[in-house]
Amino acid sequence: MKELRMVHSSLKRRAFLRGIAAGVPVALGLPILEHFLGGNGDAFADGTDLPKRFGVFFWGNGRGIDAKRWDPATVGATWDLSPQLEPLMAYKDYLNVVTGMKIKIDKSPQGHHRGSVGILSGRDFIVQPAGSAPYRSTFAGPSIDQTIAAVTGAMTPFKSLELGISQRLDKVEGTTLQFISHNGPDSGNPQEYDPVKLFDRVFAGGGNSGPAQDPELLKNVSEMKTSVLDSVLTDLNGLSQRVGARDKARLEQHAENIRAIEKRLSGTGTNLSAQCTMPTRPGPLATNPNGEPFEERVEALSGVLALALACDLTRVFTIDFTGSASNPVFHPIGIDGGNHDITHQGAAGQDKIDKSTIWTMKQFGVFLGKFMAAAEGDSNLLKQSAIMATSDVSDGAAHSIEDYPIVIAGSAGGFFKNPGVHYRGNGDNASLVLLSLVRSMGLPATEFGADGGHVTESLTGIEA
Amino acid sequence: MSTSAWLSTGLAVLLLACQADIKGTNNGQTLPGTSGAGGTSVGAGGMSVTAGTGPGSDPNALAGPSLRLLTETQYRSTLKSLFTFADELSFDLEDDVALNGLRAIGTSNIALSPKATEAYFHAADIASDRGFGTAANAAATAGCDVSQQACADSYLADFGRRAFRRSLTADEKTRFSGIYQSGVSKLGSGAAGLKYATMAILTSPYFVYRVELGEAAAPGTRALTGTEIASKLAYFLWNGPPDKELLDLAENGGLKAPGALAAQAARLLGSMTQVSAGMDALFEDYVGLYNLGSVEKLPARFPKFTPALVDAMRQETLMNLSKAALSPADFRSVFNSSKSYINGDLAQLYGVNGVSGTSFVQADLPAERRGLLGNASVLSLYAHANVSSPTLRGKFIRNILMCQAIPPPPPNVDTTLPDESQVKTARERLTVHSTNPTCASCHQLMDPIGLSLENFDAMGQYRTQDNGVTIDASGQLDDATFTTEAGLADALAKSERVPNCLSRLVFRSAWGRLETAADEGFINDMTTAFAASTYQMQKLLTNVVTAPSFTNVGELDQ
Repeated sequence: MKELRMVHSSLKRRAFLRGIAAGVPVALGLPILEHFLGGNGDAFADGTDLPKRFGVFFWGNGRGIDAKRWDPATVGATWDLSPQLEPLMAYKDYLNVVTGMKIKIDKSPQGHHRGSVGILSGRDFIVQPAGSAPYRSTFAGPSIDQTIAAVTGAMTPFKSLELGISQRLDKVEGTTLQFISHNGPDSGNPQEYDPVKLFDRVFAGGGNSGPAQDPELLKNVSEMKTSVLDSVLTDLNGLSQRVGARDKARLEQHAENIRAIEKRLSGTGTNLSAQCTMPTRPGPLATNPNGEPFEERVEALSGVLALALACDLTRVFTIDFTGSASNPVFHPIGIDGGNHDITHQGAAGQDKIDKSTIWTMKQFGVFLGKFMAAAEGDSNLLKQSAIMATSDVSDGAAHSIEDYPIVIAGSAGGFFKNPGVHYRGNGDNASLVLLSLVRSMGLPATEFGADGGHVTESLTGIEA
Repeated sequence: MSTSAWLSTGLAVLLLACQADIKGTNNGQTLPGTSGAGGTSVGAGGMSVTAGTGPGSDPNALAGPSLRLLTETQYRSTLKSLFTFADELSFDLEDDVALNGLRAIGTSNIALSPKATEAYFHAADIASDRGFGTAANAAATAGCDVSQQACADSYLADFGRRAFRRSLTADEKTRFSGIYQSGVSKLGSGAAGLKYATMAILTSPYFVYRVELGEAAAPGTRALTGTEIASKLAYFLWNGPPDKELLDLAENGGLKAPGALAAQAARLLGSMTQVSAGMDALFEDYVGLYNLGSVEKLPARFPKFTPALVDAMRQETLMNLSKAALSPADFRSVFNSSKSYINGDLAQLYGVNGVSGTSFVQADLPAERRGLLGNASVLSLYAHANVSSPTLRGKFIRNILMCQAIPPPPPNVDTTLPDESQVKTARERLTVHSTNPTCASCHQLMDPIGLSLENFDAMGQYRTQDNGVTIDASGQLDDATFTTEAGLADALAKSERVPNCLSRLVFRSAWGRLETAADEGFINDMTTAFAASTYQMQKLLTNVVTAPSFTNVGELDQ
């Protein structure tokens, strides 16, 4: 098996924000900590670079049959947005559009599974016995966000955050279509759909916090919770000696999760008050009489996410806008059928998919707008980020995985071309983009992916 | 090769593909015994990802044990057995994940995410804080003077035993007692000490997983311990933890005495409130009702499709199936019964007079609506947001009710169907499925079944016309032909595959995994006995939980 090779030591640096103590309310810092910045505004006072963030924005069912609606007409530095990308006009300088790439995994023909796992992890997926389900598959290894988070997670309270907009997921074909972020086989990271719960999780230690208490009491409470977690780790370790190999891996993941809570607890008592002021808790999400509250949820979740990133509570996130092969009804733009269904309805369906793709990019733009508005020294959160927007197929009608739709928003602190370009490949391996993304986060990787998705080069044509 | 020759060759291959699956599945051969036997070894951490397969590559080896996460319902039910105030508590848990269509199988496979783990931690915090957050609450919860070490130790030993479904080890008692003492010294009260000691118990893997690993017995076999048998029995039949009688019996060795397991099974099956919860969990998985909450219907077309009605649909199906399972009746009657448990909303939807209000009563249905396939839950689940879907309905019947696999469409096939602007009825829309040979080989196994349900729209309302055209609801299931849903219902009730598939459902739910080749003999025995009992579900459940196989697992996977 080919594994991502990286040098952890070169990435070590001081975690400048200890984070949120689970169960204990703390005051957080200003969005991005002006007083930590050095004189020139592009680095911290100790000389380290501003943090970079990695994200995925994923939507299901592709961009439709007609690639010309998605692909910009000209290639290179001088290019215009295509009709489907038009809603991203305000962020064009921060976009690198990559077309003409192909997902090169081919062990199983299962359309939506192949594209999802190929673009998110750069390797084949695992086909599992289906039983009474129509199909079952899972990721064979971590998705790219978790590959990156395995390194960046050490520097932030939360390893990663997973958000979702539409809850109309396909839940009958294994984990592949249900979760875009995976730690490994049958180990998905479920999306959060509720802005209040997301807020409570990252800013208020899970939502069960009492009023602020005196520091000595907080310290003692934190120590007691740590002893609870130590006890859990003892039990996990003991149980692990008694189980088979597959359960051992599950328990190791469980233990890693427990250690992450413990790490956040150990931040209790550090002086965070100068760093990030407690933002306002969002109100409950409004319901929408016509169906899912897509736009309301995008607005609320993007706000909480931008704040969590600005406060450096995590550096990795995924947004499952609509699930792979899923069937949400886009009522805000008058679509009268499920999104997956309409990809299979001929010409009339294609018009709807086109409208849907344009609207989806508009929603992506809401996230980008929040990021661009968050200043970080001379830079901004969008510039410091690399967010891959992509889908589970290029054309859903034929389940095609050629000429794949890929946009990278943000320059990862100058790693990607800014202003961006339209790069057109010639059926090249889509994993080239993935290796670029991994490197853009400062990870010195020399290869990425496995099987047909394995690459040893990145896509230099979009790198600065 | 000419086009027609290519087509006919391709057709033959595809026909064989679908027929092979059907035949194979019927005798269990395309189920995981072959395609996934021995575990698929993958790169990350050397994990073997095939659920419950045995060691090595011997497809006939009994599958080894897997830890099973408590489902959300099981977690809450277990917490309720520990605290009288459990129903007052407000906390979130991560959603259960269904694999192979069953949440019961998800529990044996899914690795906890960070978010799911945090949810357990916070739930334990909330529960222990309610129990011990104040001196008064602590005294009420523990029932003794919590400032005394003896009180704390005795409370923790009893609480821990109920929480872990087995007695604590000496090391565990010492550790939890230590947390109590530490809380007393750091926070100055016995209540605080007990709060964190109980929190440690509730966050422990021995609480959130069912640990049913067995002990080495004969080669290739591990025997479940008494408490493990009690846990497997209670979580299957009651969807909750073993009660005091069962746990006491398990711990004093009595459960392994001749006849004891059968007596306990009979007792559990006779306790209607708890066993109804167990049946609800079984049948919610069976029909896929856990997906009903995320089903969408266009509000403009289906204004009656409200959350309250959806909840009623779910209740109706669970009541019909669970009550039939717990009665001495032939369970197959659920497929063609002329009665159903409905409330006022469903009575209105179905056109039944004389039923109103929110409570459910068993009522006679109109002649056009029979059995499970006439339930609005099933008809809504297996349909689109805007129109019905004979294909999805046919696939549900093949996959789920008959345990027959249908392969997905081949890659790069044009799956375009005409929409309502071009054709009026589903039968016209699906013409391509029967005329294009690439499609027909598999669709002939689904569409003719589903087309007989066309008198029901995408949310299960009866209709005689679709877009102004009179519906032709004739259909076919294997050798049976019919012209109405009632005809399909009768054919299904007589199908030999359906009871065999129910045996598989019961096995998968109780074991938390798909059956393998090693289990086929057992499943066939269960199906034979099910038939001999004239298909009494209670007899099937009893036979399954009292069989020697119920108390054995294979070797640990390496």
